[in-house]
Amino acid sequence: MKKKLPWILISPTLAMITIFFIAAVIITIPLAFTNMGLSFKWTFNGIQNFESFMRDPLIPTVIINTFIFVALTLTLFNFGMALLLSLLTTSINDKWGNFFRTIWMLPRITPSVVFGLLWLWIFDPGSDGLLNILLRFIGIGQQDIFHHAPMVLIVLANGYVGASMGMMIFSSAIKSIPIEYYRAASVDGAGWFYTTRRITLPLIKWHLLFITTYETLSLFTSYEYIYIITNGGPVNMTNVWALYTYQTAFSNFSFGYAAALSLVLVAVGIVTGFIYLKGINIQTNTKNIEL
Amino acid sequence: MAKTGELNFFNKHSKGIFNFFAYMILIIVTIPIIIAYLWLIMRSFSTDMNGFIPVGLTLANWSFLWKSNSNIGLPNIWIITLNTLLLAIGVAAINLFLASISGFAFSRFNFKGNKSLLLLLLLLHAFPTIALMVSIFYILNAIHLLNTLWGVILLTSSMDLPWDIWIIKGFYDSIPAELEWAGVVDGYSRIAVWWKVLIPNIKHGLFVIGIFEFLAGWSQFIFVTTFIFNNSYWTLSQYVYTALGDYRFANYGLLTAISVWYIIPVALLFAVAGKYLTQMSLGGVKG
Amino acid sequence: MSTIKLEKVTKSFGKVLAMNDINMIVNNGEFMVLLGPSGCGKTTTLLTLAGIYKPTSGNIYFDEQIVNNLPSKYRKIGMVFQNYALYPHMTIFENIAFPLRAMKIPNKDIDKKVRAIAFNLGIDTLLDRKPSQISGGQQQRVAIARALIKEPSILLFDEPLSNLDANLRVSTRAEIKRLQSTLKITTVYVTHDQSEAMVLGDKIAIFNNGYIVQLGTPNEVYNHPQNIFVAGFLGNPPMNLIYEIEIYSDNGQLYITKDKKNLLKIKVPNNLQEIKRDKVVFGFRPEDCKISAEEESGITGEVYVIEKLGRENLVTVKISDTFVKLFSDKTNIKENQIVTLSIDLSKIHLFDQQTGESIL
Repeated sequence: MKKKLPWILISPTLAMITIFFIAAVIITIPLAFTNMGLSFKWTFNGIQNFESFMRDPLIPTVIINTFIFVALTLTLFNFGMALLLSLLTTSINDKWGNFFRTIWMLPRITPSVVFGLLWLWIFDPGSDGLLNILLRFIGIGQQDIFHHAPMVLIVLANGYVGASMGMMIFSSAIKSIPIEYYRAASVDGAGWFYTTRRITLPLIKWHLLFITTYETLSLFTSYEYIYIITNGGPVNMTNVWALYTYQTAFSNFSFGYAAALSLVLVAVGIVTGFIYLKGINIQTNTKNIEL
Repeated sequence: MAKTGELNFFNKHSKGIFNFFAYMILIIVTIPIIIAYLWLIMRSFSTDMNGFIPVGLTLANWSFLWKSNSNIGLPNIWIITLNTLLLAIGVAAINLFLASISGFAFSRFNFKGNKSLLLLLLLLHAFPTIALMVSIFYILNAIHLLNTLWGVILLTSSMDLPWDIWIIKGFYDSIPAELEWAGVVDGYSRIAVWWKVLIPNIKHGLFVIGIFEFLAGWSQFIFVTTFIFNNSYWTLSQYVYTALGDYRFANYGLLTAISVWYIIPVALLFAVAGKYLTQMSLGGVKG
Repeated sequence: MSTIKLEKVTKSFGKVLAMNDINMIVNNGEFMVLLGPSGCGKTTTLLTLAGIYKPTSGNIYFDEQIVNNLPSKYRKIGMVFQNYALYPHMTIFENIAFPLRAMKIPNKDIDKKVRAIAFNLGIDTLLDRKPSQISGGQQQRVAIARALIKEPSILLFDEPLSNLDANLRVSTRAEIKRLQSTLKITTVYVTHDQSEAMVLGDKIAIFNNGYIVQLGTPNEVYNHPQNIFVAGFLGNPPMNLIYEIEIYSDNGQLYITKDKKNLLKIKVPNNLQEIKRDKVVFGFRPEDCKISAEEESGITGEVYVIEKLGRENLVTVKISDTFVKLFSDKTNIKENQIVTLSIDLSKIHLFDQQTGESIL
């Protein structure tokens, strides 16, 4: 009985994980070779799904969109803004630094639909939208970003949520750098830019690497905010891989084809998992930035 | 290096100038967030807005709360809110319980597979759910949980459970084993010791998990949208989403009112514990 | 080189007053030691000189110019930190070169200067290594090299020896003294170790609770402490202090007594005539006291413990209810033996028990 106790304790957890993760991953593979629909029938169709994939006219668009989306959001926000925020908020008065970082946590804890509403309002093509209010105020006329440059909209929306993770990780890393380094640099005549370049950034380089890789993969599988705000439109201008997979499954009910598309996501998922493991390892092992 | 007498304005006030630009930049990038949330609240109480100025104050936008089956074509708000509460509390309760016992097992018992399972948990935490949506649809149907709140509850629980276990395990790890031995020597069973000694000492971790899981359930959208079809099982996320589709350009007043109603728990959390959010999200091992 | 003047400088952090009306002058080429227990304000003073803290009030002058608001990098100072603060990801060469690179000096010159100073400090073979690969003593020399490389007018040290082990501390201490006297740079040095202060300083400023309690040459502060705090802080073992002493006059002579019952009679030189206080504190240093031959008169006490230190013995003697320490090379003393102490009367100190101020 004693030997079995831990197993009993973790059995419900194991059950849930098996059902919703392990089984799910495993089923995806055979599913990709069927053309299952809402009838839930296992009708195997060989490699037809992969042939459809080759001939699907939307795939090139989706791939390009995904690439653009990930590249822009990563460089401008999930990495760029995160780094900017962490560098600036740790260089000013601590109280105000915390204030700004706390505000940036708001998007993260807001329900996605409400956050989507806010961005839809900001870019409302009519006269009520924040952007248009500002543009009218400074004399430029109204714009319709939503219909003409929707990628801007989703990059911004995902970016304002996504930046907070990098911001937290970088800030925490920067704060753990002993202050004596900065005092020495200050006495030695280094300005802010020089100090940041030669002391701060090198000392957090593993965190920078981790966020870059993790966020890239994470963005590749993002779709929730895009679904709420544009649903991939207009006319697939913002349709990305993860969203397309979702639509294939739950708008078209082509589960087989969707499963095939999911396989890429599963592969990405596994890689993300390993990167995450390595990242946590590095974080716990570089705790001591030796003096 | 400039001689002391030759310093220019820029040099002498370099710290002040830096601060000026730093604050400027921070304000510019952060202000959209502040404006957006302020608008959300103000608009919900306004009949209309001219730019940023409310034209008139009203509670009419909030009428969905007291007009049952109102003419907005959406189901009763109170049932939906109840569903959302159920989802939130359900997820929180399940995860609190399972994380407590699983964390205990991982922390205190040296069973085969302990380490590997922990690594697996970490891996799962980073795994994107979208990859599994199709399969999960099939599975939920197979176990008759499709189109049920319980299905969504269990699913949401499972997605966050790996991380919760890691955090609680961390809390257990920080309690020295001597405390338990003292309890056992004093005559308590292992379970009694767990309940009387360990649980009170990991209160902080449980509290953090409880709050975050409640929020996770409360905010859950994609699972509700995908796996629930019957609108009497909807949660507030679906309610807002539908309103968004129907009323997007027509009625910001209603939309914002519904949204404000929806984010009340979030606002409460932010007001009370906003300062600690960063620490809590980073993994709560520091409490 | 520079002169430093602190004029009525205070520094507070919120409600905490770390520096309280500090006045100090450091002359050109002088070695000034800031000495005191932890939390006394000496490090705050140093950091204020460095420009890392700004004074709340008062003025700081370098060479007659007010530098209160001058950023650190323009103050021409070199600083050695307690934990050395060597950048862990850079080589020793790069660490030393850092200040020069910040000044955008051309690479060729940097190379020459770094190698020259490394050679002078005996670390030229370590230039390619990283800080974690060299010993504590070597790290310290790298820190000094980095501080010196920009040829500063003022050198600041923040407890640089406290991370070294005992024998390394003594040898490095000597090297620092020699370095400073060769280069003749105005130096301010913070430490809590009174023997370091005595050895290194041309002048010592003793801090307590944010105030400078006494400032003077090592000789002055050691032999003429102005109050009990200074008296008890300098010297190892510290000065013996006996409380509840009264001055009593008899036959034109003054005596020092404790508890009229247990008379502790010693003659006191007559220039003490004018002084009549309630209670005083009587102080004498262990090295100014001897166990006398049995016939002489003096204070009697009972030997409590004898600690053999090799070259001499440290004897603790119980006098009524106080313990005093003294050195003795007599080998025939035993525990619990009653002995007589003879004290060098030219070296005794009297302090007002209430204020702590020195009377004699």
